[in-house]
Amino acid sequence: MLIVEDHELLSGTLALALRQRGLEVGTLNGPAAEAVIEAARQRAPALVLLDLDLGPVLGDGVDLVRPLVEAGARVVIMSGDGDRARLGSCVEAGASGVVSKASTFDDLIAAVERTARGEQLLTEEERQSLLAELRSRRRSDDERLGPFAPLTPREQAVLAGLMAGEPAEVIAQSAYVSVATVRSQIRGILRKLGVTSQLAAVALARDAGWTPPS
Amino acid sequence: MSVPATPPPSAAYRSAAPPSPPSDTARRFLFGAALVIAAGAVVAGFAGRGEVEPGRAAHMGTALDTISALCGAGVFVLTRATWRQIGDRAALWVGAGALLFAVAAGSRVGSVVLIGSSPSNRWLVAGGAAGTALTPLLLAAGLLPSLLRRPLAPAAVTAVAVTALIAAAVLMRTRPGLESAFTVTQLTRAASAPAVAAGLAVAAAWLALAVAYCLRGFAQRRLYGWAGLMLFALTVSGLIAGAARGPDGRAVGAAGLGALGALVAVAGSYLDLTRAYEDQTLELSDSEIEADAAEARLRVRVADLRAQRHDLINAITAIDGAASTLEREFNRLSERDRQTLARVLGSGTARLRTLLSQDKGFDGQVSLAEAAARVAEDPAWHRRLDVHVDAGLVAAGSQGETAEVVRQLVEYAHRRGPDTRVTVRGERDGEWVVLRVEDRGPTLSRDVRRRLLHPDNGRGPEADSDRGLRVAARLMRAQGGDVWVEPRPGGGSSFGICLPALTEVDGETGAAS
Repeated sequence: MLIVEDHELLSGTLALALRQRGLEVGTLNGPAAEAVIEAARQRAPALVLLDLDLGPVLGDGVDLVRPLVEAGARVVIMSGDGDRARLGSCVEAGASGVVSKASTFDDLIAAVERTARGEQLLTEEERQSLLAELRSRRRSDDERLGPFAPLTPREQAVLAGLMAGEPAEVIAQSAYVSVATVRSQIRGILRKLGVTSQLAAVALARDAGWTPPS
Repeated sequence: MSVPATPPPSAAYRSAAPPSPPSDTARRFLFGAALVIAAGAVVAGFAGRGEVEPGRAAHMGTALDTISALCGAGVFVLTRATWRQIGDRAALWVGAGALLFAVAAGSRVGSVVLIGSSPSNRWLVAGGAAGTALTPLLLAAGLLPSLLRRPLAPAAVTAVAVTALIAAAVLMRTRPGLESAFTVTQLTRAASAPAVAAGLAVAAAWLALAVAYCLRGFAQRRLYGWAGLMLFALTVSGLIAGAARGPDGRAVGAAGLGALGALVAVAGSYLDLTRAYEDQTLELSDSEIEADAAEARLRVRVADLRAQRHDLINAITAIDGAASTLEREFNRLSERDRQTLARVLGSGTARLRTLLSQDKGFDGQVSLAEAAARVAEDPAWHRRLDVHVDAGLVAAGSQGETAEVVRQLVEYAHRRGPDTRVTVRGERDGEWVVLRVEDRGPTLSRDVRRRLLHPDNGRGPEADSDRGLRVAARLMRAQGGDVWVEPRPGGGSSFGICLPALTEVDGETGAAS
């Protein structure tokens, strides 16, 4: 099995303890996400114990789940984060189990051993519960950002300009269009968002945490 | 945190002349309008010498009074909008004065239209006289602090003005000749010495009021200046009107000067309204920058706490694992494994101690090398930054906030020169540590350099990118540091940040890249 964990102190201890239990264990902590995926493809481990918060170099562990599953490994998430929707993303991407770092070391090892023996860590009910959390998070994100979906790319850029405190003249200048065009786009934004003033549109966007697509 | 005795390296930037203020349209307008009014007064004074046919003079006077009435009403509307914008109560009283001025001018127009001595016409004359007499009094109210402190609603101020107008009109209707006691016309019209003295007193009071408004207006660059000029025009107009004998050249000149004063007032009140709107916009922008800075601080704090929690869990789990493995598997472990686990226990405990003693808040320690490395690790800037920061450059401040500032500066540098490399350089400067973010984009002009980050230029509309820099400036200055920008030798710009140094550096190098 393979442990992907950026804290060498922990990965070293885990590896040592698991080796004592007769498991063949390797550790990885970089140098980049692509390198971890490539190493997993080459070593073809049956099981990957994956940390979710891998620091600035490896980034978010959620992004590694699918490639590791596609490389043929069963992925068990090791997380100190209680964000169930995030864990739901991992399950959706193919993770077969979740263990909490906040539990005791013995529980952690026992969970890994059970998975190594082919047992399921998550019951179907727990899986569905995590997936439901994820769906609920997505729904709330959609509801929050839904009103902004009908905005055209140009209207999104204009709204971003308004949020940055730029007057219509400046937005028009930077987009090489007439002020009348920008004003018409602003009217379109107000109509689609169901508000009556630029201030209300900006407040709505800020409240919803809307950001213009890059 | 001790403050260094020596000034920060940004002192030269700070001591340079502050950014030039935005063009002072209001003052230019007031000077221009004062000249126009003075010229108008001279022309109106000499207008009586020219012969004007009475019927034509009456028509011209009516047309000019119509302009005055419309302008007065316009000033009333604009001042109310100004009040709504910035809550300036003086605007309400000045607007009420302008309303009565409009009533006076409108009454003159009405009395010409309703020629004759019908009761309604006499009421119009009385209303016009009351409006003329009360206009300066209401304008004067705009200078009374006791009235301005009283939270009277716009409707109440208008009600006061209308009630005073009706009461004065009734008085003047029932006691003909009373209006002359409140107007300056008697100075040039009256034959008796007491009337001249009374006229002189009224004219002096009006002119004093006009001067007070002008002085306040020039000092505060708003509202009061044009009200003073309007009052000055009305005073001189009244004097000229007093000398008129029926609808003649003087009467036309007087009406013309009144209309000129009203035009200045409507233009000035429009200017004030736009200025009030700009002020509001600037204040909003200022608040947004402050909110952005607070949000950045919070984001950094949350990220720090999250990282700290992650570190704590990892250290505790590692210690737990090492201890339980040693306890249960001691006899089966090789000597090397035992030593490894013992080292885990030692390192884990040391890590816990570090985490517990670490204050990542305002008074923490900043490693400039670490701050630069945090940015360099970001995949967005990977391989596009040259980082040369000595590991020993440690300052007092917030690690996360300083890294956020470096990120903002690097982002800005990349926007200015997307295809060029950015260099991050650290150095010690006396009691300060300095980190420079150098780009190779177009060199910023002196004016732009001052405008961007000068402490005296905390307000003002800015592009989105400038806003990030201003947020960065607030983050640095809140930590006791500073941020500035200077030209980079060889082209481009160098953005510097400095913080009070924590320890002496003994020439230790070790570039982080």
